[in-house]
Amino acid sequence: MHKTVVASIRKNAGKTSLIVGLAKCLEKEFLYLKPYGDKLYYRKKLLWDYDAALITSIFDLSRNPENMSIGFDHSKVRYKYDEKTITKKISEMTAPEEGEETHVFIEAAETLSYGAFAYLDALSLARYTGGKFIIVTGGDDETIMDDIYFLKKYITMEHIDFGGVIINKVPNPEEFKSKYSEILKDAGIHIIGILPYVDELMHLTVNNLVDRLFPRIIAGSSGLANSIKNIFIGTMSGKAALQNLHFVHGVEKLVITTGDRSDMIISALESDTSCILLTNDIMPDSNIISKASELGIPLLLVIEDTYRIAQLIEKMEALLTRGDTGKINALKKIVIENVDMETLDMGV
Amino acid sequence: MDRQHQMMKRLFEPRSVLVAGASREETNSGYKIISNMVNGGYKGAVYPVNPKGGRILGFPVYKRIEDIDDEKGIDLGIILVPARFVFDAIKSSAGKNIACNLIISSGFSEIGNIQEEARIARFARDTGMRIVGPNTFGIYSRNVSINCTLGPGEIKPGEVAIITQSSAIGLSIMGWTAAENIGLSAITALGNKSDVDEADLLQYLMRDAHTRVIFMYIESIGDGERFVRTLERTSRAKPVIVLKAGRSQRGAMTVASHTGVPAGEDSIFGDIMRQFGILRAESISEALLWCKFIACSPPPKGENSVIVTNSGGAGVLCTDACDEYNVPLFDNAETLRKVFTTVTPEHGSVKNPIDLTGKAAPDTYNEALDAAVKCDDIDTVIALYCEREVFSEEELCRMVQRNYDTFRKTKKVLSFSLIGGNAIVRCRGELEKRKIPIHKDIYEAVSPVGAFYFYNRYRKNRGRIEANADLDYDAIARTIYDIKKEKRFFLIADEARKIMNIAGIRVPRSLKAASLEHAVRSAEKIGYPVVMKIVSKNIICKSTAGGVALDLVNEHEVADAYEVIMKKCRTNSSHAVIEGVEIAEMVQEGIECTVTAKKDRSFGPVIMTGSGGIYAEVMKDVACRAFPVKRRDVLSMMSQIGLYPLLFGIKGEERKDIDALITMIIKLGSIVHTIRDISEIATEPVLVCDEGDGINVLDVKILLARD
Repeated sequence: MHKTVVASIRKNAGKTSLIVGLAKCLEKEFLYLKPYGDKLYYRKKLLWDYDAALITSIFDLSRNPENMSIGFDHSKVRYKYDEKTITKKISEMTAPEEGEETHVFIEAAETLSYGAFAYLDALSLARYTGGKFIIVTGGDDETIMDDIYFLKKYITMEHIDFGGVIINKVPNPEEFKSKYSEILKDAGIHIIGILPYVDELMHLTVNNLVDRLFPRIIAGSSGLANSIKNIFIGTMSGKAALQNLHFVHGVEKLVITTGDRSDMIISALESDTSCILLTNDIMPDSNIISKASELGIPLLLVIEDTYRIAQLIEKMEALLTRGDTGKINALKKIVIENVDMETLDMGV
Repeated sequence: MDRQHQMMKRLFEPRSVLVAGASREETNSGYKIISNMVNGGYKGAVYPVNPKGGRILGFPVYKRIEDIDDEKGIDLGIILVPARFVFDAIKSSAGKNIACNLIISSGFSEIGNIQEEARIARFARDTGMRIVGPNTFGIYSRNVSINCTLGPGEIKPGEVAIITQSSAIGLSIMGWTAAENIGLSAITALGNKSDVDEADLLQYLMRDAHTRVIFMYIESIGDGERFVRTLERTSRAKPVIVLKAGRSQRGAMTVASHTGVPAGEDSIFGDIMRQFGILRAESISEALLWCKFIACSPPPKGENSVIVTNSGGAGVLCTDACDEYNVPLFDNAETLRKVFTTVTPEHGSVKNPIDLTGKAAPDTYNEALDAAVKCDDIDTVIALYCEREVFSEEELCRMVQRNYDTFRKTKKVLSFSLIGGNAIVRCRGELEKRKIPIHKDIYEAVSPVGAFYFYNRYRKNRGRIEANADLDYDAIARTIYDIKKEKRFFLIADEARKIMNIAGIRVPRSLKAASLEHAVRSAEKIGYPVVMKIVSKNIICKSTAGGVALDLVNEHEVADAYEVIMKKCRTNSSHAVIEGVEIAEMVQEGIECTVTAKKDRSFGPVIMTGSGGIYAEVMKDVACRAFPVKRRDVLSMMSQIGLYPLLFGIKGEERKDIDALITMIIKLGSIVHTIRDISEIATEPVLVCDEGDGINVLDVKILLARD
């Protein structure tokens, strides 16, 4: 049975996207686990991690996402388990059921240290499972090199099957290679792949907003896959917005306003807008709803105020959603073209 | 007579008037005011003031206010000087023991000159004088025949008093009343309301013998609590009609920018008006229609109304109108037959509407209306006349006049509508000159009857005893004292629970837990199923922060819920200090509603109730009343919301404990009304159990006032 533990030193390195790309290349059934969840969802007394649900739905996995995580908070994990019982639990979770294929992806929590107090940090997971341990790093050159040197100097890989590092979101991979290949070779860190920064993968989609904000979709559900490249807060009149350069020239934008700003909403509908997010639970007029429906521009209604919603969106990652077929295929292509699959020993 | 009323009496019935800014120029406001006073027949002393001296309309002009010699003190000052001289004029008038200054000059808060207006108001307060305005048009008062306004010189004395906030609207209404021959007992505009407000004027007008009905045009309300209380007292004495600007959202925005004061939540305003029997008009024409009718008609003794018509179609339209304006039609077929058979022509109808047919001549109307007057069971007649060849203009006028006089003598209500062309228009004009309210449309004839009935119902049914809960208010005050010291403005779960316990309001049993282990133990102690809620001094809205989990039935669910609540609250309120969770018993039986008592910034203490559950936020199904209330007010408030019929039990359900809910609402209102430091108590959901089983408050939020 092959196991791959995917971890990162920092948040938002792209672990889930990498697993999606790798799993696409695998072209056979696999198991996915995220023992210490960080994107918690709770509905009808069921608890799951967003990434687990995403991967389950993209690949139509047979196990339920709520069974892919042990916990999300120290308090509960420590209340239920100690180090010994948690090892046992992990081993039960990674054991294939009858008829299941054998590859297991284990996604570690958001950073290398996250979950250590609950016995579920990345290095512990690698040790419990004996899986191939991969570190994903990304960002600007300095961040990447800091991460790699930090790993080299301070992280002991004793009893860990360390596969190497995948460098993600590199704006210019060729330039990066020419600049750092020799240095990295000297450092003795195996680089499994250098993946380019792809603009398309970095933008939020309307689906991301729907998944995270739980709005009421009032109109334009055909546009939920729309990409969001700009965000505009429409607290002014529609006339004033039309004099604002960010509004006029902002393409594929998300406009955040309230339902009673009819003039603002109409101005947004008449410009290059991907989605209009209506705050404070104020329903717009019915003619606006009809117009948005005709144009296929989603109108999303939330209870929260504009400031709070803007804060939430600011913190939001451009997570994949099931409908992002283009993005998912792009990830597969990036992995095929840039990752040394032999090192990963996935049987591809 | 209290000092307050004494001051208003000197405003409305001045013995002497000073006019600062008097002028000899006939086109000048300073001339117009004096000319209106002279033409209106004012008999008191007039002291024009202008540095140039001389005489105006026979009055000697004083160069300085200080030169006026009136030992008794001047009652009223009219200030017309430019804004920059107003303060000095006010200051000088103080030396003359002036009671009230009416500042007609503009150029104050309406253009942003707030400081100067505040300086004048402060000075007036310190010296004990009252200020009307600035930016008013003056005052007319029938009691002393004083017309010191910038409006028309001739004002017909009558029984309608008008208070307007806007001078421009006020002047237009003055013109309108003159054109419609509506007599006035008083009219003034409050302008910027730097001191005297609606409540001050109402205190005088409610006792004024010449005033039968009061019409107010309002844009914004300053001291809402005082306004509401005074309005209630006034409405007990005489009908009050209110036209409020800023009903719509955009209208409210315009009011805020026009007056610098928020218009106030219109739904709350509407509910409070309903509570106090205030007639809320939607337009000036509707308000004046009601004024005219109420001023001219005797109060209805009952509500048995009969339509008398010469057209079946008009009768049907009138029936629709009666339904719309809640005017009950008298339906006793036997009585109607007895009263009207002999006076109704062949082919007519003696069922209400009484159809006298198109052939009805003046005598037919006279006989039918005489028969209605004689019948003790009939209180009101709505008489309709559609133009026919049977009547001449003169005959029609004579018939209407005759019947109007008969109804007045017998103190019954008659509302006449004449529908037709030029002859009818001329006839209406003639009758209006005689102060007979004649309507040109059927709905117009019914609407004032409906308004009068509404007011009469309020007068008859209003309870006399205000419901106030007998609670240990000192214990509540002590509970919040320490919280205020911490500079905290909301109560956490156990503190709010303590207040509910003092008030005797049932809340589910609960325990506070600082850890997951403790939470599990608490849940076992209370017994499953349980509810879990975050406890933090920094999280006011627990559900928005993700801090509530319901119906947890075992240890596993408690552990999951604890994890979720901690995670979400830490994410959503990253700076919050979390003390733990509250584990409470899960109560499920009952009809869900919401109850809030709060100090509304426009209207003072109010109580509100609404449908609960998932529909509450979307439907905005909420009704409101000003506090204190009578128990019947609470029931009337509840009857406005959608869930009201459910409280009586439908489809085999038991009737719910409405009495317990009313008591609980009164308790919350009493706390907010009595304890100055509590600004809001919001309970949601409240479960109303079967009759006799009381209510359960599942969650309560108590906010404290910021000093």
